Amino acid sequence: MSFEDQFRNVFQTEFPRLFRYLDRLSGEPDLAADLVQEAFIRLNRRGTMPDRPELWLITVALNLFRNIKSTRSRRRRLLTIARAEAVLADPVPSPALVQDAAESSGQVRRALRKLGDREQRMLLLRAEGYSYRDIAAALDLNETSIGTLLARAKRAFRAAYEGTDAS
Amino acid sequence: MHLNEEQIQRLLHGELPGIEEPLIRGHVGVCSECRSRLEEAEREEAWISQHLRRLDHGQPQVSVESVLAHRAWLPRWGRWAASIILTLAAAGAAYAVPGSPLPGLLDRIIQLAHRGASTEPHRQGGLDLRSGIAVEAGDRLTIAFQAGRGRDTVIVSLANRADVAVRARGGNIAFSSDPERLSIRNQGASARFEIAIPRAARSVEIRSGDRRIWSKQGARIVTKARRDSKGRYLLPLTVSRP
Repeated sequence: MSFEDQFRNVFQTEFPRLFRYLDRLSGEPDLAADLVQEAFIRLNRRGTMPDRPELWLITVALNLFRNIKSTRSRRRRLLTIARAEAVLADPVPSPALVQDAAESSGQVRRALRKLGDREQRMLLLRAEGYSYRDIAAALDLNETSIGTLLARAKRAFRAAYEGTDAS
Repeated sequence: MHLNEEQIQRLLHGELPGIEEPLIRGHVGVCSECRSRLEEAEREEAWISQHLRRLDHGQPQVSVESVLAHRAWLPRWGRWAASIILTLAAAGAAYAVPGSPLPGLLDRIIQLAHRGASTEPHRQGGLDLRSGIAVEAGDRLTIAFQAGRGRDTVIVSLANRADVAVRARGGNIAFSSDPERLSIRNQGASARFEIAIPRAARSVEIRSGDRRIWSKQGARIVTKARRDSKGRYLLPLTVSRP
């Protein structure tokens, strides 16, 4: 199978969950789309498929996200060509629907932000079905304790959410 | 002897090593306490999954072809963006200097390019070659269209996004910006601009020359422009070259 065929297969399977992961992590769908595109562009420029492309992509995307988050000097950026249609075709939902959705997602986001970075990332990676091996490699953790750390992260998220709910 | 937390989670996620799995499943089959803990872990997993889905936005329609064809922009993006904007601004300044040969030169290039060419936006590898920029709305933002030579149109929509996106089809567009102002000049043929304004933006106005043609102050929109069936505002630009 040629590299391009492999790339297409990986794009089809990995783009949705990588986007969803970064969207949930950042809360900025445009930024998530840019980061995922950039990770795939770098994979394309690499020219050969890594042994574990899903791990390679998530590692690159997380590094890009870290860089953006740490500099935070982002004031303007040139739009990538590929996502323009989706951005400008944003439908107009009803105001009530917008408010309900915003309140609901805001509560989840507040709970998520009460967790540490590692717990957030671990919880979101597992929610996208990443293996313990990939989670350990992406977050530089010991694979043998991923289950225990996940259980703690889930408990912390639930407690944070219910605490948010009660307030 | 009961299962520990690591084993419960691994059982839940299918992450147990092959030799351990039948033993652990066998234990769960006979131990009501461990079975109950596994069921609780399954309920918790489902609850978290359901709540995390509330964070999701629609997935962008990105085709693999566009990614295969597109060059990377994020590495050193800040320097790239700054250098492109500075280049565009410098080109704009050189163009506007009285007596500059650039307008005439551009005219000739445009005429040559149009001879035998389609009037459709230029395409390469199946992609529209369009220009665009995204800027943060901040507390206040003015989008100013400067004197152009074509009959441009602007379509404004409100979107659930964090920044203001301006995309142009056609024309030869120069963008320049400072923290509260984005200036746009079309130095080519007629163009169509699509502008997405964040619903949460506090104060955004669009000016055509010295006229304000659209503004948003909080949730209040002021414009004389008509709206299409999708709720977008259609603004004709009537700026003429002085």
